[in-house]
Amino acid sequence: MERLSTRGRVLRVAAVVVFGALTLAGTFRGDDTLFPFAPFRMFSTADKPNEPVLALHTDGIDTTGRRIELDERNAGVRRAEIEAQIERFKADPSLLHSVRESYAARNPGKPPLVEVDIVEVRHHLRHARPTGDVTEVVLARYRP
Amino acid sequence: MTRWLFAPVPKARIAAFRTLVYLFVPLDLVLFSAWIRGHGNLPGSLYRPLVVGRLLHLPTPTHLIVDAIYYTLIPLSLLAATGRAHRLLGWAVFALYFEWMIIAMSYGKVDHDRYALLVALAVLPTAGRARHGDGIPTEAGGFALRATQIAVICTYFLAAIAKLRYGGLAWLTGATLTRSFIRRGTLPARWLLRIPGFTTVSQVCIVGFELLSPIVFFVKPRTRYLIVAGFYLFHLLTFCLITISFIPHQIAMAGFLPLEKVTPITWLRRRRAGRNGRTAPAEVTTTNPATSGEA
Repeated sequence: MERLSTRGRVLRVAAVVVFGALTLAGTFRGDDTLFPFAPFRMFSTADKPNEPVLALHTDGIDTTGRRIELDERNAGVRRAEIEAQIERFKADPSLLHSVRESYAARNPGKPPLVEVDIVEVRHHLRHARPTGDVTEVVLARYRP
Repeated sequence: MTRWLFAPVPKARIAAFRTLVYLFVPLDLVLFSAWIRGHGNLPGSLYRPLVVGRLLHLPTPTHLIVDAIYYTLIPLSLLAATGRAHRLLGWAVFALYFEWMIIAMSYGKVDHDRYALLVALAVLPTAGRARHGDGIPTEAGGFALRATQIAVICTYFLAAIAKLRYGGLAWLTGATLTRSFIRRGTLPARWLLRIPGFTTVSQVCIVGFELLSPIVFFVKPRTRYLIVAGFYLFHLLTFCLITISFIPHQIAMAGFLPLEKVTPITWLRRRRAGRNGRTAPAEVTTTNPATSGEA
């Protein structure tokens, strides 16, 4: 048996107490900025059962007129990140030029984008089940 | 309590867990969260520094910084997977992966699927030297696995607390699962949406299982393994329905398993020794004074 010294035990217990307290404080009082002690809040908001589900997607239109859905793979954009900063994009659509450049960097040789749109798709619900009705709204549009 | 916290485990389990975790890190960088690398191409204006980033005065990620971490972390982690220089390599991998996570979470979206893996990376350097096939029990290793297990269960239990904090009891009867099924659901998820009440019952079950998850520490090993198998099944179902894998969490959760019983390295060693016409080295069962004591 390989035993720990008293010092080794005390240090480890102290670390558990400190990191445990920070984690609990983050969960009960903190916000996302406290990562890694942020609340464990993925999927934690309660969506209303009779209000539409909103889903954003980022689209690009290239010089040939083709509409491409932009994602992590082809443009390095995550939907959740766009959603988290949507108010900034609405206020200043020119921020989307970075998405256009990121697409160009990842797709050398492909036609460049002449437009980047953030589109909100609304799926209507009744009693937490989709009714089948879907509407789309452009929230931010950037044309270089 | 301290006896529970430091319950010894065979060194072979630490060696196996170490290899698993450090082999996962490069796979995570290249495959499972390849999107993080894309943050190097984003402009500084989208950077939303976390508190830890500000406290440590971490620079705004650039293409150069992101690539430097990427190309340093992969070989270092592969080296750490061998178990050699476990402290030096272990701390280096932890520091770089932590910075990688900070880069990942500093653009408005913070995930909680890596908490247990980060804890595993933080404690593995303290788990002491460990060789595959070594049956000597170690308290430092036992603590490392216990800390990882606590982090795994915290991830479930505190996720339930966050749901009650942000969603309240309305979370149970709300449309959270419906929303995720619509937004990122697979065909089976869309099919399940047709069943009246399916998402509500599932939500109650999810919060119930998260709140009850600490029970895993109070049951006999056989029941514990069954519960952990249930956790894995939950993640398999989640992946099949909304393609969220929680794979870093699942790797950390292997800290609940008797990994020393999976012995590809010992098997390879024996096979090689057999080929060379020698008898296989016996498993080390005596305490080596050089490696005993505090890790």
